[in-house]
Amino acid sequence: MTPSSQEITQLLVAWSNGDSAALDQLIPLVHEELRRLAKRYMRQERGRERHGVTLQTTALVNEAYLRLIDARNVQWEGRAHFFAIAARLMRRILVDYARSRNYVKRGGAAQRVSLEDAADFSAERAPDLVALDDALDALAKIDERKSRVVELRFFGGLSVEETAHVLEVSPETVLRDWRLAKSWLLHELDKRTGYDD
Amino acid sequence: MTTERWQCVERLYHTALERDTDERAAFLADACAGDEALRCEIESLLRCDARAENFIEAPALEVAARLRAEDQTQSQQARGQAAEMIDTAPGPDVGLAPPGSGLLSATPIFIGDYRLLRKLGEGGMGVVYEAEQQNPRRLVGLKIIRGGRLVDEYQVKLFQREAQALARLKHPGIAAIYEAGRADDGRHYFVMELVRGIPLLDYVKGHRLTGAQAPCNIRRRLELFLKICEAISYAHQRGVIHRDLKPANILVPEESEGQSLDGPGLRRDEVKVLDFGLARIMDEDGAGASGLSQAGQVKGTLPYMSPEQVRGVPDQIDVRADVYALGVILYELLSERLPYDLEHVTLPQAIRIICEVAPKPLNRAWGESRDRESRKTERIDRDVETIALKALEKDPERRYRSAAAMAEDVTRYLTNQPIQARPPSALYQIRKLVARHKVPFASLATVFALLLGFAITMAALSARIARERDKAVAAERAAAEQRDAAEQARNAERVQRAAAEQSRNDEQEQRLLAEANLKSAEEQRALADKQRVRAEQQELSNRRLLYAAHMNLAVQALEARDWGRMQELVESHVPKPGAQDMRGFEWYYLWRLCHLDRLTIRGHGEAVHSVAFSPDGKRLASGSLDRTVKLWDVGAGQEIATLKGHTGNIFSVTFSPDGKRLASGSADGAVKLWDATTGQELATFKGHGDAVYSVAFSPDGKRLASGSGDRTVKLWDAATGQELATLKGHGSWVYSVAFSPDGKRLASGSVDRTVKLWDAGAGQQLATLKGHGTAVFSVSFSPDGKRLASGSGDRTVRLLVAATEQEVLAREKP
Repeated sequence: MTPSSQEITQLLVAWSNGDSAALDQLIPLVHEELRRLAKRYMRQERGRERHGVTLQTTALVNEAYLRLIDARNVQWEGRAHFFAIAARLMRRILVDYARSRNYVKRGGAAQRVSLEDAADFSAERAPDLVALDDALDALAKIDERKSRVVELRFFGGLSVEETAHVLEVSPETVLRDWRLAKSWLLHELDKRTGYDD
Repeated sequence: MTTERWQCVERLYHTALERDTDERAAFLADACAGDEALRCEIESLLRCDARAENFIEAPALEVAARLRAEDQTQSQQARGQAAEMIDTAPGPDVGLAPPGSGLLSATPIFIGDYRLLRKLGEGGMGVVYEAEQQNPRRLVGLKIIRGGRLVDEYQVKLFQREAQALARLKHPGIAAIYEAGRADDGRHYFVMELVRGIPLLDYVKGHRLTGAQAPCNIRRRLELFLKICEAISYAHQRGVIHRDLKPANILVPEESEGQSLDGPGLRRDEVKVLDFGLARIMDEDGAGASGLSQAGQVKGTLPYMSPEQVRGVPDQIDVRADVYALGVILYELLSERLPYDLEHVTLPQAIRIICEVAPKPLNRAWGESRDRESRKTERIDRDVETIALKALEKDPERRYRSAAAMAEDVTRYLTNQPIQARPPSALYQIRKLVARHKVPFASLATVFALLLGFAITMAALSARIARERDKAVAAERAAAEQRDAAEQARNAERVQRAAAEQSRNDEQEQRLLAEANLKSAEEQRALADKQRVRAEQQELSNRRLLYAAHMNLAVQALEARDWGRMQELVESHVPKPGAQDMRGFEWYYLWRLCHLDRLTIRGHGEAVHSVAFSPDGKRLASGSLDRTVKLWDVGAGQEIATLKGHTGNIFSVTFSPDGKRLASGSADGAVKLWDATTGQELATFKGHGDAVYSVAFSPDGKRLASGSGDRTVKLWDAATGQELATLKGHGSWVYSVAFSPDGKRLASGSVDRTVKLWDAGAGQQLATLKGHGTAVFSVSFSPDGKRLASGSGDRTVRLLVAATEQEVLAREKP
């Protein structure tokens, strides 16, 4: 029985007010969205193989985000706060997921090393969420706002306008922050993965 | 970073982005005004900006969902019966299967991203499949290693690093490795370039997929070999050693079959070396590339392993191990035989053969494998054999330094230039022979016999050997002649002495005559003088002969170990004052021999712990850890008797003052008394609870003292064996005891760091002398009995005053 988006919103608000039990109910919801999305991706991959069809993935993700973070029911004065909380929650759950996955892999369930990939780390690849999370913490120490821009956009799935609204800055500022933050994070990840030594 | 600085970075970063790419550097150099760190920071951010376009643009939820999709796909593919099916899938044992066989079941089996299509082959290390990669879509070879479970993360890392090094090998002669991974059950797999071809040896023998062809000629074989060297050399330059080179790992791809066998313009990719560097990776697991089964039977790739590899010294294995394998391959390419016959031998035998035995001559091996006709037409040149043998040297230092150097020599040969390698010199071969057989090459005759043996096979050496042999025969003859001469000289000596005597008498007679006959005195005197001179000359000549004879006799005495006679002879020729010195180098040589250590006595089977001279100096006793005491005749250097009876190491021996008895102390706790002339056991004094480290007779010979590990010193009646007293007081083992010259006192040194002085009559402790830092090993009285010396593990010798009891006590008190 999937809770309604209204219920999710209430849980998020409860969590933001310090109700840790709310988190226990939220995590399975995010995981359910992950599962649903993953299934679509697999179907899509097979479809592409067979028929050369590519589904519109952005729509899928937006849909998922909408199910998880529906701001329509939130009072206007609490909207910015709510988005920030939702983005932080997503960050926490997704990074935890990635971390546990890495752990399982290291534990020996499946270990695959792609030599070509390993030797050629590039920005085109999906970022390592765990490393990114660390780098984002480092960025927050230098420039809190830029780290929040990344958190809202990348983890919270917010648009530039929504981000601008939450942070009460102009969309241009969000774009400028976003661009510098991305470069800075990429540079930081390069350093951490040791590809510049 | 300060806020101001970060703001500065931000401002310059955005301003720079507004400029054209080629203007940015100049702008930054200007704007940073010499602040290099700032400029670098912004430059590296700008570099990242160029790559960051798609970075984190897809939301995190999507990233996570894709990861999850990936995991699910993998686990679905690898789940189920895959693992069992891989192992049980039918397939040929070796080589490549003709299309159609080895097909796997209809259900697709996935290993990672790869769908297995059919089994290509199976070896000692694993199974090879043809597989289809999904992305990019291509056919690959996939090798699953048997066993192969890594235990910890560190090893996984090593494994990955190694696999990455291998993936960087890109050479047409090396089958590329695309990926390394682990299947669900933890087994390693490697994905590599799919090579369709014929194993090297099958190829040169004329086997083709399309049917039989004529075997390759020698030149063609050498050209193929050069290709192999090229590939190996490339890998060596990149720091990768193959470690498991063998013809089965080298394929000649199908594509190059069609071309003319002897045609020029050889294709670069004529051979493909497989499994590069995998041996090391697999060794990490202990799976090993050696192919040795536990039963000690020889399997797999042993014939291609260098001596350092079979000895199992991984540290010593470098590119020259591959050079060795190349040597075996060259040998086998040419002769179609292995340099050693390892087929029916056990593992230890095989290892010995690889490490010690020289390879069969290449031409003989070649002959064995050919029919007569082709033997007539082609022979393997000696140069080629030399090249192969240099690569097969047991000592890596003597091999080619690299695959490239070996290839160079083969090329030289093919282009009719002199090769660099030289056949091992005769001298070197003899050295190896001597080292191999470890024959005590002491006697010249043995050397000659062996040289003669060699002469049969080595024409070059025979002349030298003949010369040496003649020399030896001549030397022998000369020796015999000398012996005869010595004999004659001895006879001559007698004769000449008589003659000299005679002539002296003559002279006297002449004198008398001269005195009597005053008239002819002058004439007579002149005559007498003449005769005297003659007599003197005669005597000198005699002495020379005598000297030569004596020196010869001295050498004979030396050989007979008659030391006394030798010394006598040598010393008799020390010139008397005024006399002529006859001595030549031989005298000095013999004289020196006389005054060296007289002799070395051998006979004990273990360390000798204690020696003692008899009071007359003629006999020597030695006590050994072999549990015996031996009595020696010092003059003859010969054993008089071996005294057996102790059941433990013997730590101490000493003669009684009259030299008639011998006492010994042993680890068995007993003191034994022996007849010092016959070696007969007279008595055993039991009483000590631990090893006896030291024994000493009292100066009058009536008492015996012994120091023991039981911390006591015991005094015994040397005649009856009765225990007179037990001197207790030491805190640890007593290593040494000594009587004072007057026999009234006894000193003992102990591991407890002290020396104790005792009343030798009553057995009372007189004094404890402290001062040593560690155990006291030895104590000794001065002849006047006033001082006592002690030696200790603290590296010092201390002189202690032991004059009188009072004095010592007085010294001890403050």
